[in-house]
Amino acid sequence: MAYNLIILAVIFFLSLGQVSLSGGILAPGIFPDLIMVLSVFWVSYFGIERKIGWIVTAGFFLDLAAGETVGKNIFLLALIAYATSYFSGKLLLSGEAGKFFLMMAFIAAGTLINEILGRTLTLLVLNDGFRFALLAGREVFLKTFFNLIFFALIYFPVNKLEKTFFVQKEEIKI
Amino acid sequence: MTHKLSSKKTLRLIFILGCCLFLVFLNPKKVFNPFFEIFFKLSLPFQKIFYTLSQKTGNTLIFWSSLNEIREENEKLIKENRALLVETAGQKELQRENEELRKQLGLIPGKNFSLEASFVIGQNPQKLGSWILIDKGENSGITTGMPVIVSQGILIGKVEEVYADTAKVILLTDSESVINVRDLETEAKGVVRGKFGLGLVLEMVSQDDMLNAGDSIITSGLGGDLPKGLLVGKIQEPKVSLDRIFQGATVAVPVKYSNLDVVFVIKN
Repeated sequence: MAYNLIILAVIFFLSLGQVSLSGGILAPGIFPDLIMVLSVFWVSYFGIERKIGWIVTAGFFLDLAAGETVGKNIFLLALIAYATSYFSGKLLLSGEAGKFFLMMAFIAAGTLINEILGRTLTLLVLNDGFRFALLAGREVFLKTFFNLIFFALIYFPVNKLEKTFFVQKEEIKI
Repeated sequence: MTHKLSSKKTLRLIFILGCCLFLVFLNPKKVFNPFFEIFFKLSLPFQKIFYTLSQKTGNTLIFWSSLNEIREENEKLIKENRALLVETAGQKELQRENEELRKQLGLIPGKNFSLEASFVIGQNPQKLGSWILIDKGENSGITTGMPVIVSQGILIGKVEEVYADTAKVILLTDSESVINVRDLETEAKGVVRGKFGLGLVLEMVSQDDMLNAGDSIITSGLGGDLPKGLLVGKIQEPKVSLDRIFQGATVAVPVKYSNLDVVFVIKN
């Protein structure tokens, strides 16, 4: 119960942060995809079965926070989550460092998928072709960079949180 | 076994994506408005804090990174200030003339508007210059279509969607935005269109009309959705359209949309 409340609060504040923190500190186009990074981290570290429900909830929160078409971010996050799950099953690496760098690669790929598909959906829903054409390399590069920084920042706290609750549950089972 | 698992995964993915597409199709029917209402009600105080925090942090970062420039600019400004002191003497006469012109043009001075001050609490996370969220909504008497200005009477957009305590304002630079305008100096009429969140373009100006760089563009009041005389921007670069029937220009926006803190909704 406590775990569920903490995770709910985390995705609520991250979705708000993605909408309200962009602009001041960093331009909206390069502001990190906080929810996407967390989703990739969750899937590659803890498996899609355990986290897909939370990822769908996070996508829904993000759609609401951004006042956007409901379903758009759920679609993108689910697609990225399943792609991450598929490839993390194929590329098994031993050791914490190996996993960390593999996740970084997933986040970089996820950023690209998110940008291309996000703009394609905008093109289809809003018929805004120019925004698709504006897929600037520099912007995507900077966004990837900030996504990786955000990932490095949340890696240990999220890991610690998950392990604390996971270990507690295992102990109760024994 | 593995094959079974992966096919189960694929089926689940297809199911989720199908549900998403279904949700997307439900959007135009406004099915999710109650969810938006609840979410905005819960998030409003936090969004205010987040947005203010972000703006202040951004401004502090800019301040520290530009200290050297500020010192140089300060020296330059001191010199300019001395020169301006001389010019101020002639200002009173210009002010009187301005008031007279305003009367003749039928412009409404800013103080005659019934304004609702509100804080910006969010903006499109994907692209700058598309829309902003403000912390006032239906409960404050705001309705769709109301113009939104900043302190000096500069138009920045129109209210597009209204919830109980929040509203979404579509900015002039959004590609969906089109408003009727005229050149304050030459009386040329046209429309200003948003340029994909990046800037503004003046279009549909007759070839017989004059457009000069530096001219002020104001709302013409045509169509009745916006009051007459709100400043939109200044002409940067006049040019003839490709079909040579109309002329147009790029319009410089006098406000930096990423730094908006407080805006005013014109209610009357």
